[in-house]
Amino acid sequence: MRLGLRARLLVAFTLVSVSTGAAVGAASYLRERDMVLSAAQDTMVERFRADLEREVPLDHSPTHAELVELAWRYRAVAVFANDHASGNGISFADVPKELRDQVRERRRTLVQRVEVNGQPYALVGAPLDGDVRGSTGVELYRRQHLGAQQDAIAALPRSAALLVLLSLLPAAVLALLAARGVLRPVRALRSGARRVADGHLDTRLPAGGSDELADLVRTFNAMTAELEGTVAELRRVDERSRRFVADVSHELRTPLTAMTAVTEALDDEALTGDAATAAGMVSTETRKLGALVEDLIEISRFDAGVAGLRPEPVELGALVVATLAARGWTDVVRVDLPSVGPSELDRRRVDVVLANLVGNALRHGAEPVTVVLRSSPDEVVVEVTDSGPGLADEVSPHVFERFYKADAARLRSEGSGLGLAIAWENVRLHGGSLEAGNAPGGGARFTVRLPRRRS
Amino acid sequence: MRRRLAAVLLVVSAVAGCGITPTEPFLYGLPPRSPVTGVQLHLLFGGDAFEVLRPGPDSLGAAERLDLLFAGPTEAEFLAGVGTAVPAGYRRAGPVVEREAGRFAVVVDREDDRVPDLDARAGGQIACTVLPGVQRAGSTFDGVVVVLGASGRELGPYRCEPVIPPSRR
Repeated sequence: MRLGLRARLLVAFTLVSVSTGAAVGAASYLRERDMVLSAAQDTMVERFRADLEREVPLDHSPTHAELVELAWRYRAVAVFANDHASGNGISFADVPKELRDQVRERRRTLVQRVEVNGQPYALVGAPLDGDVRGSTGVELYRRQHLGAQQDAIAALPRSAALLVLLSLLPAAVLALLAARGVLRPVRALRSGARRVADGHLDTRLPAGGSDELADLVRTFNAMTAELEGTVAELRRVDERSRRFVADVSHELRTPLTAMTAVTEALDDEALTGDAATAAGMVSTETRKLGALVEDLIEISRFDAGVAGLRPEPVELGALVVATLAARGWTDVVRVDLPSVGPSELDRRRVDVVLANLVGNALRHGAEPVTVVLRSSPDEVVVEVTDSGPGLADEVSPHVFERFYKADAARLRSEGSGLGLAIAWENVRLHGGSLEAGNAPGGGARFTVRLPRRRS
Repeated sequence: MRRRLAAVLLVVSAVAGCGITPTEPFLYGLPPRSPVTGVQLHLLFGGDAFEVLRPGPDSLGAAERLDLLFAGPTEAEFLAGVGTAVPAGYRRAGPVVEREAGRFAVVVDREDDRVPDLDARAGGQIACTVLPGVQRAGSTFDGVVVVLGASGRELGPYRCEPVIPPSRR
């Protein structure tokens, strides 16, 4: 069982107070008990002694009648050798033999406590000795009931228990105060840590005092400050590099326009031989460069957060047909396009997505490529599947990264390396999802899910 | 750790006991000094020395004390089981005299020859009974010799040992 800090402190304080109270109670109980018993025994022996030291009418060995008289006179058991007489309230049988033996042997005043029928008694015994000469041969025993003392002693644990109970209250209050003192900064730290986890890196906690918890709070503050600085720095670097890419792309655009015009002019010239080959190569590469720069500009718009969505009601099946027709792929792509009804989509961006996915399938997969359209009340789904070997397991997580090459040996591909990244950004802009996987029969399958309505 | 401490406390308090516990007999000082008068006589009870009183002044002489001892226990003493090792039939035949420093002698008669000799315990009784009488007269005491009057045979000397050798077996 795991207890909270508050409960543990409460238990600890309670245990300390109870055990201390019990120890003090036990010690004082033993002391008080001895005091009560000593007082009772002292009184009993003093009275016995005083009675015996008064005049004693005895100058010879007592007859039985005289022994009985002695017993009544002293309210004690009187013993002379084998003869004995019972006194007022005590009989010879009440005197333990060990007490009689020791009185006879040691010739001193002796006390013994006994229990008879559950009742406590104290017995005192002494030889009746003369003040001038020694023994008279007579011994006297007196008994006292210790009922009052027993009651007084029985009341002692109650007061000790009361003491423990009374000490519990301040102990509990102290425990709760101590727990609060510890728990308050801990709770503040917890909520602070949660705010940081939610991204509020400017979170700072008030650090008062000089104890370990205050140290912890100061360390926490230093940590979040450091984290905030680092994250801001990273953002700045990231921002700078993105802007650099955007600037470079824009700067490349103007000379590229000129180069494109020149290569088009060259294409129109009727060149022959090596010149024609070279002109064709330059023309092809220039077009590729142009496409790359356009893609870079597009992606830097996404990075800058300036890519806007222009949704309109679109019949996705018709859009697929239009896309394939515009790129001349109608003959090489199989389609399954049931009517799914209109969806709120940005026509241009969905066209880009479809073109990139189908183009990618045609380039890297194998024909036939199929485009299947499905729908549910909330979303429309387009699956683009090729018949190639499919995506390797280590490739699938990375296909949407920029300039990612599945085959490192094929350094130059026909695509810009940004097509899938741009498709992913466009789908995301719609609030949909784009997943890469493999079809059950082999072949890579890209699944686009687009919500029907803008939310 | 705390639980162990609490257990120890519990055990200690349980061992110390609650309420009023019975005890063995324990000493509570000297016996009371009662103002009794009389002459002390040394008899036996259950084989042990047993002191009793006889009427008379404490100033009684050694010879008279010896007479009381030779007279034997009273009826009350006899009924209570008090006895003597001095056989019946002894009678003092002369005074208690100091032969030499601290060494006393007394001449006794026996009723007839069947009366047995004194044994060590009887001698101890005689010595202890004589002792207060001679001490009162200011003498030291180094034993008493009992002279049998008929033969002149001497028994003893006897001394008053603090405890007569026990015969409790």
